[in-house]
Amino acid sequence: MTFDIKDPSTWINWFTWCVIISVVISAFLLTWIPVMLVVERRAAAWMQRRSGPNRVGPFGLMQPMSDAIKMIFKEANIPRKAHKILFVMAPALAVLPPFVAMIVMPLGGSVNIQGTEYALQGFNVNVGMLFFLAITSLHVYSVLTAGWASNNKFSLMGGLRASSQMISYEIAIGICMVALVLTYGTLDLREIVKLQEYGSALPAWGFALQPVAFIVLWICTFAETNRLPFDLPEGESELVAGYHTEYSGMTFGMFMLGEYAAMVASSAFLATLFLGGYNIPFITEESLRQLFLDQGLHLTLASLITALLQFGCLIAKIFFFMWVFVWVRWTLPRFRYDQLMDLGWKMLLPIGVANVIVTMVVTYFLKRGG
Amino acid sequence: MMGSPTILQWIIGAITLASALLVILGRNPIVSAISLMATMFATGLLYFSLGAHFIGVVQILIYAGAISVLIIFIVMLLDLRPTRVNIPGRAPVYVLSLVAGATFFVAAIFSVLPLLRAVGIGPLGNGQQPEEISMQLLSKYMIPFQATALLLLAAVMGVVVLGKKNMMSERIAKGAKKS
Amino acid sequence: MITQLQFLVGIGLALFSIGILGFLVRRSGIIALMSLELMLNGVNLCLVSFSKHHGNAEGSALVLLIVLVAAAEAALALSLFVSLFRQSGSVELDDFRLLKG
Repeated sequence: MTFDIKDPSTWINWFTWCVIISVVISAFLLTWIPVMLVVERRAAAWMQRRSGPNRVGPFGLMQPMSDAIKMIFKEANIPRKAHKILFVMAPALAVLPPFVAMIVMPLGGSVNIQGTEYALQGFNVNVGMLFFLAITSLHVYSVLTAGWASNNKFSLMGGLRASSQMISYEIAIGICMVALVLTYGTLDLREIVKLQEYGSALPAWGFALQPVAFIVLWICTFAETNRLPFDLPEGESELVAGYHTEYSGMTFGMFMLGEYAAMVASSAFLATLFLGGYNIPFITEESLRQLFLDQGLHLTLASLITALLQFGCLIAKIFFFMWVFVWVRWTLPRFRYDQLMDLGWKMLLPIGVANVIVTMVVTYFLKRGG
Repeated sequence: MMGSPTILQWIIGAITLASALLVILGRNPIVSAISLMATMFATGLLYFSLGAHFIGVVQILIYAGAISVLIIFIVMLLDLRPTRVNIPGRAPVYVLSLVAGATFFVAAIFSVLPLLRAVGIGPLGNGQQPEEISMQLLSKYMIPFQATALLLLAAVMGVVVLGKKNMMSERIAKGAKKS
Repeated sequence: MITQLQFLVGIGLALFSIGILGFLVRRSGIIALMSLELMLNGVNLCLVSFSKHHGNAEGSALVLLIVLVAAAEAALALSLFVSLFRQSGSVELDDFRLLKG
C-alpha cells in the first residue's frame, strides 16, 4: 500500500502493523459492549423507578456474562425457505462497518518512540470525515439483507422502512459536513482535533462554532443507529420486531453488538468534530508533556502518559454521548413513519442548507476582514 | 506505478473480477445486486491501495452506499424472481456475445498493455488530494461541474414525476379502457 | 512481470468486458443496468490509475463527474423501470415489442 505508515519495508512489517491495529481497535470497541449493556438496563430501571438486573454479580455488573451465555446457547434457527447465505451474512454486515469506521478516529495524542511520533490512530486518511460517512452508509445493507432473507413479509417491510430512514438522514449528515468543512478547512480528522486545541487558530470547540450543525448531526446519528425516537424499524410493538424478527441466539446478538458498536463509533465521531476530540479543556498537549518532562521522566514515557490521559478524556466524552443515547431512549416516544420522514426531509435538510449559507457568508467576511 | 502490484492488489483484483462475474451470472437478481455492491466496494479498495483516498471514499459513498442500495430497493419492490440464465433458442446469441466480448478484451489487452510498459513518466506527484481535485473542478472543468449540478436537479425532478401514481394521464387511460 | 499500471488497466478493461457481456447476454432490465454500472466502473478505474500515473488531478476530477452522472442516470433508469412495471407487469426487455415491425 502506498500510504506513509511507519516503514513498510517488508510486507511482514506491514501485516503485523495491520494485525496490531485491528486487535487494538476491536478490543476498544468490544469493551464498550458489556459496559453499555449494564448501563442501559440499570439506567432504564432507574428512570422507571425500579431496580434493574441486580442478581448477577455485585450491582448486576456481571449481567453481560449471563446475556452472552444465553445468546451463545440459544438455538439460532434459520427459517425453512430463507436464503441461507444472505440470512447468515446480514449480522456480519451489521458488525463490520463500525469497526472499520473506528480506524480513522484519532484516539489520543502522539507517542514519541525513538524520535518518531506514533499517533494513537489506526490509519489517518486525509478525508476522514467522508470516510466515516461512507462506511456508516454501508450499515444499510445489513438491514436490507436481513429483511429480505428472512422470507417474512413483516421483516421485509421493516427492512425497507429502516433503510429508507437511514438513507434519508445520511443526506442531512452530508449537508452538515459541508458546513463543517467550511469552518475547519480540512476533512482530516486529526487536523480537526488539533485545530480545537487550546490556543490554536480556532477560538472554541466545534459545538460553539457550529451549534446548528451539532444539533442536526446529533439527531441524524440517532436515526442512523436506529435508536429511539427513530426506533420504528426494530420497534418492539410494531411489526413484531422489524427486520430482525427471525433472528435468535448469536445472530441476534451480532445485531445488538453492531448497534452498540455503531453508537460508540458515532459518539466518537461527534466528540471528535464538536467536543474537541481527545483534547483536555484548557490544557495543550505540549504543556502536559512538559509537565511530565519536568518531573524527570523519559520522553517516551511522558508522551505515553500524555496520550493515555487524552485518551481517557475522549472516553469521558464518548460516555457522555452514550449516556444521552440511553437517556433519550427511555424518555421519548417513538416517531411514526411519516413524521420521521417529514423530520428528515422537510426540517433537517432545509435547516442544514440554511446553516451552510450562513456559514458561507460569515466565513467570507471573516476571511476578508481578517 | 512502475513496481509490480502488491499481494493485496492481486487479492482485491481477484475479488473484483469474481464479484463482477457473479453479477452477470447470478440467477437471483438479489444475488446480482449484492455482488454489484461487492464489486463497487472492491473497486473502492483498489483506489485506496493506489493512494487515491478521496476517489475511493467517493466511490464507496456514492456507488456502494447509494446506487447499489437503490438497485436493491427496486429489485425488492418489484419482487423480481429468479430468472433462467440460459434461455433455450438463444444459444447463437450467447456464443456470438461471448466471442465478441472475448475478442474485445483480448484485443484491448494486447494492444494497450505493451504500450504502458514503455511509458516512463517523471516525478509522481500525489495528485489525488481533495484540494487538487477541487482546483481542477473549479477552474478547468467548471462548465461540466455546473452542468452536472443542473443534471442532478433535472434527475431529481424527473424521478419524482415518474414515481407519482394516479397521474391524470393514467386516469384518462383507465377511463378510456373502461368505456 | 507486469507493472501496477498494467495490472490496474487490465482489471479496468476486464470489468468493461464483463459489463458488455452482461449487457448482451442477460435480458432483464435491472441486470442490464447493473452491467452498465460495471462498464462505468471499469472506465473509472482506468482513469484513476492514469491520473495517479501522471501525478495530476485531471483524471480524478473527470472520475468525480462520471460518478455523479452515473448516479443520476441510474436513478432515472430505475424510476423508468418502476413505471414500466406498473404498466405491463414485467421488466424483461424482450417483452416490449410494441414498436416491432
